[in-house]
Amino acid sequence: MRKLEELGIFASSSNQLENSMECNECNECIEECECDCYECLPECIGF
Amino acid sequence: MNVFMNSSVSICNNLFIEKIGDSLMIINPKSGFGPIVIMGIALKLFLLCQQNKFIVRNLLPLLNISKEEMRMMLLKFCSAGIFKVDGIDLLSEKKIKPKRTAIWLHITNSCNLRCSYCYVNKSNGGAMSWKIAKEILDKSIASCMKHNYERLLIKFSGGEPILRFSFLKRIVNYVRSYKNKVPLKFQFLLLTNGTLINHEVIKFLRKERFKVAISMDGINQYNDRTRIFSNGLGSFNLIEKGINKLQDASISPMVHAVISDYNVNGLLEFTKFCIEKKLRFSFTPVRSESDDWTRRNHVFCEILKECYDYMEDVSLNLKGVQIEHSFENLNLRRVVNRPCAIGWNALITDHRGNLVLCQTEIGKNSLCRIENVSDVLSAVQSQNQINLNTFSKECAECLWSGICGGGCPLFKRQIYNNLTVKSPYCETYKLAIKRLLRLEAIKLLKKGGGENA
Repeated sequence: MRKLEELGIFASSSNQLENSMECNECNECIEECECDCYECLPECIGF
Repeated sequence: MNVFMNSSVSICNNLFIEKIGDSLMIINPKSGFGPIVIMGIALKLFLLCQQNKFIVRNLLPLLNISKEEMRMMLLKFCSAGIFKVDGIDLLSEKKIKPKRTAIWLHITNSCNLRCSYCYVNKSNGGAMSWKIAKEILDKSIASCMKHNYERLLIKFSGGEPILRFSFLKRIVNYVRSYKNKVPLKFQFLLLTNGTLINHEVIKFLRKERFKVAISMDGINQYNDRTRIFSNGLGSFNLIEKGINKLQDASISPMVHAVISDYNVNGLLEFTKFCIEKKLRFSFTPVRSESDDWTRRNHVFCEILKECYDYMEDVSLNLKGVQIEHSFENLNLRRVVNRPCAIGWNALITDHRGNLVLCQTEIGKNSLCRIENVSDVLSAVQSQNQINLNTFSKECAECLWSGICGGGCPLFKRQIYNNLTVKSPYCETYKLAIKRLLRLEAIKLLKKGGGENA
């Protein structure tokens, strides 16, 4: 069976549905966190 | 999801589609999935389904693929909110309970800079006492435990927190004393102007695995128009040295630039600087009033187009270069009904121990005093005095509102005294989202080996 890329699909490997809805604890979570904490977002400087 | 040979496949609504080279980038902004890029067989499948509702069995001979391959492709398309199978899409309305939060510790008003737009009143030189700091930490940790949180990020800010480096170290050591006593993971973040980074600071940041965020508004004169010392001299040279020292010590800071009328013309140069130095960087539009919002959005968008054109060019043509850039809080892989955690899952305190909604409210409005509450997370949520979930009618109908969250509610209140309006930066956000999507698509193609975009 061919891989997704060979069939022409390029996508992030993780998402809210395919993962177990847990944060993956990567420590570099600009985009990776899938939970609803909002704290994985970059700092809002708020000036 | 069950896909049967007699299942029907159709396209979801609300898709944004853009051509990138020979590929199509597609996103359903209401999916929380982020963009996917398709070419070859997947592109043919999408184009077929765009024309008609299809039965899976009838698609197989048209694409010359196996049942398993079809199932795998359909699952990916459905997860991304692009296809529906038998009229059912996979988008979930499930609300996920937070397991982590952050506390913004404003440990001092003092700063060695006098940035023109700073919201902190430095004239009274306020500094957090140890008693207040300890109470904030104890209560925040207790509240996290009560709500079954798993992680607490402690953000040191000010003023310039490095001016109180001994105090900062004392706090970290105190937090570390909780290790093995509570099942909570701690992380630390330093929000600094970058001018006071030295060997001692770096050694400590490395030891405690700090994340570091540096404010910088451009290079040379563009930074120095706004980020100045009290004697009027610019801070760029010292910030750059600070960044170099951090990078030499293998600490990768996030550089935050506030886009204003003063530095916008230097944004492309700043972008090149960050990419050349392999810095992670972000843009945030300034929270100041404008006489002409149409013009400001137009100017910001025109310059941003140049910046994103450059990023795309580099991303497409230079091997090994990975651009790590964000625009304010925009996140392509989630659906939000607010742009940040304030009034929900953000603990922000001033130096006196007042809980505030947002750091920009320090010195203006406080929610309550830390000494008067036992559960700080509940206190923030229960004292949420304005409905921060309010989208304008226009936002509710907008394709992108799940990504921008309607823009900063406090800024809308400041500018319009009204939350049910779209953000003054709506046009800028729309442009940024579309360009971030293209960048992400290029990244996916490079990562997946489909580099003939």
